[in-house]
Amino acid sequence: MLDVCHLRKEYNDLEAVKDISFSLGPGDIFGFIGSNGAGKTTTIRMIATLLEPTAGTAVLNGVDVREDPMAIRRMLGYMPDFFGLYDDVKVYEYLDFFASLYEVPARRRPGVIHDCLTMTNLSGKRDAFVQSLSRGMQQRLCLARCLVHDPSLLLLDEPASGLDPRARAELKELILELGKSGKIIIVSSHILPELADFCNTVGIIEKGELLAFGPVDEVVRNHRPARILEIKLIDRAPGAARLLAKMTGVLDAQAAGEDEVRMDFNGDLQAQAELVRALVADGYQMLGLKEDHADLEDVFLKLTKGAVN
Amino acid sequence: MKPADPNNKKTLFAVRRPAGKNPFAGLTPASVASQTRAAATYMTKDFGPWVRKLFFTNPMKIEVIRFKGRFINVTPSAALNRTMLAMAVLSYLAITWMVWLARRDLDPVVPILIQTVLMLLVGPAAAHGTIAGERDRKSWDLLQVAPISHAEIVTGKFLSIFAMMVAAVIAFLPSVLIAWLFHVNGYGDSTQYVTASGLWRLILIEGISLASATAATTYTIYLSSRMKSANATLATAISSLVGLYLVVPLGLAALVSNGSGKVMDLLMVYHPIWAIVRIWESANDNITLPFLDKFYGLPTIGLYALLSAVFLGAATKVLKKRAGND
Repeated sequence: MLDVCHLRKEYNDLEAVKDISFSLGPGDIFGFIGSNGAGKTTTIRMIATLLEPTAGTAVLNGVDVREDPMAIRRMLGYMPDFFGLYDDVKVYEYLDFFASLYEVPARRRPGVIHDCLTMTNLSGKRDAFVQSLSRGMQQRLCLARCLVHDPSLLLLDEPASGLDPRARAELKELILELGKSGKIIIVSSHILPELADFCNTVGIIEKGELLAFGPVDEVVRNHRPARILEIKLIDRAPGAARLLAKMTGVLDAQAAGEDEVRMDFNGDLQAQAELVRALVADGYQMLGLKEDHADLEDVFLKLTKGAVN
Repeated sequence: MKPADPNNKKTLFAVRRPAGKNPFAGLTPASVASQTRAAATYMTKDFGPWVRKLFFTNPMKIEVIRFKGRFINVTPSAALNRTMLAMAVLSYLAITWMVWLARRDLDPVVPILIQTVLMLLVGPAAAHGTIAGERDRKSWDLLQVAPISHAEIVTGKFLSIFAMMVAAVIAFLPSVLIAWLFHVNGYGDSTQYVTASGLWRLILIEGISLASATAATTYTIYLSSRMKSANATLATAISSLVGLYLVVPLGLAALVSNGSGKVMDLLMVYHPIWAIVRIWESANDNITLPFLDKFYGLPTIGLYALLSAVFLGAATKVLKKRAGND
């Protein structure tokens, strides 16, 4: 269980993270969304014990990051957005080094490393030098490094950056698999559709403030912008747009050519049915009505202003 | 009164006494004994594993693996490194061969002087990236989130380099021993140095050589803990060592050119080459060893050992101070 309680970080007169609180349980895959400089990495680094919070704290399985950082480090795996690997060591030696850092007993290490390499699909590269690996493989090696001590919390800061589509898909699968094994996973990313695919919880942060937090569906439902309706007609779309603009729930209605009206609509289903009835009653020949579903990206764009970009 | 708990570090060393003006109030022989027993149990319980982890099972020995990977493994990308290693081995064999050829004329101090100069350069060269290099390649965070203390990181990295320096001393030993055993002085005496006092001098100057290189290495580790770039660390370390060992002695020599030798001896107590030469000269000049022994031998080694400990401690302190703020 991870409880982030009123976490704050100030640098001189800049408040990088403002009073962030949230809770995650085993199996939660939390997508941390925000523009560059929004405060994602700062928050993650505070949870990872790399940055000391100005105020507030985070508690992982009952251990406070400020009181016992060493105990927290034994329970977490951290993959930074930019990381370097040691040159001149082989993949196995690299993982063995980190396993020894995390006090994995020497007799268990070969088995643990074998499992991590299998899980990250790097078994064939066991004896390769780390500098000879491709970017995608290095990302996977870094993830394997995070897993050698079987942490209960994984902090993955932009894990998919620089990966090709296949490597991204593999990474997604791996994260889902790890989530199923009961780990708490925090993933920050800019690629919103991807996060929506495999995260069961999201948080949107801007200027250090957590603007939304919760299950993906709930966040989309609670924060979605006005629905976009598209009405297809045989003709006279401008006239239909003028009529619709005056109706309940219609925020804006614009004709797109002679045969289509697009409108922002925040009414309920009753009001939506009323639109159709009014158009038919006025003699408009309607071919269909389609709703553009709002997604995480729409919510993100609605909530944030991109001020920190 | 409840006995002190040896498992609780926080309360163990806390002085527990009732509030009041008398600072000794509440301190009874029984409470002091209990506190002392608990402290002793704590120390013996935790000290052993701590020492073992710090010095013997320290995972930072990866530096040695990296050294092996860089110079000994056969990979196409390591061609340049392997060439450098091959040249070093050839140079080493050539030096040993030359020492053998010149064994009758060569003073045993010469190979040790070469070894000292080389180690004063190679130690910092090996140590400059220990911490700044981790920052350069952005692998420092990965170490910082591991459950390893800063003292273990610093000590482990130092021990890796120290092991290499000991290996270098051992590598030079054949040359030193050849010169020591076969040197013939101007009177045709080949046993001048092969005495107990000659052996002691040899041990002392080997000690000074290793200790001075160790101090230079730990100084570089300290710089590496402070600086962000490995290259800047190396430049600073080499320039300060050149200043200390070359420029300062020249300046001192100019300043005290008319002074007595003892003033210079006092001022140059920090200088390994000076110390080595003075100790060895004492064999020729019939200077009694006890004076030099007290002045340049063990005290010089002790000074360097102390400096090394101070630099390692300072490096650990810098890292502790910076933790959570980088």
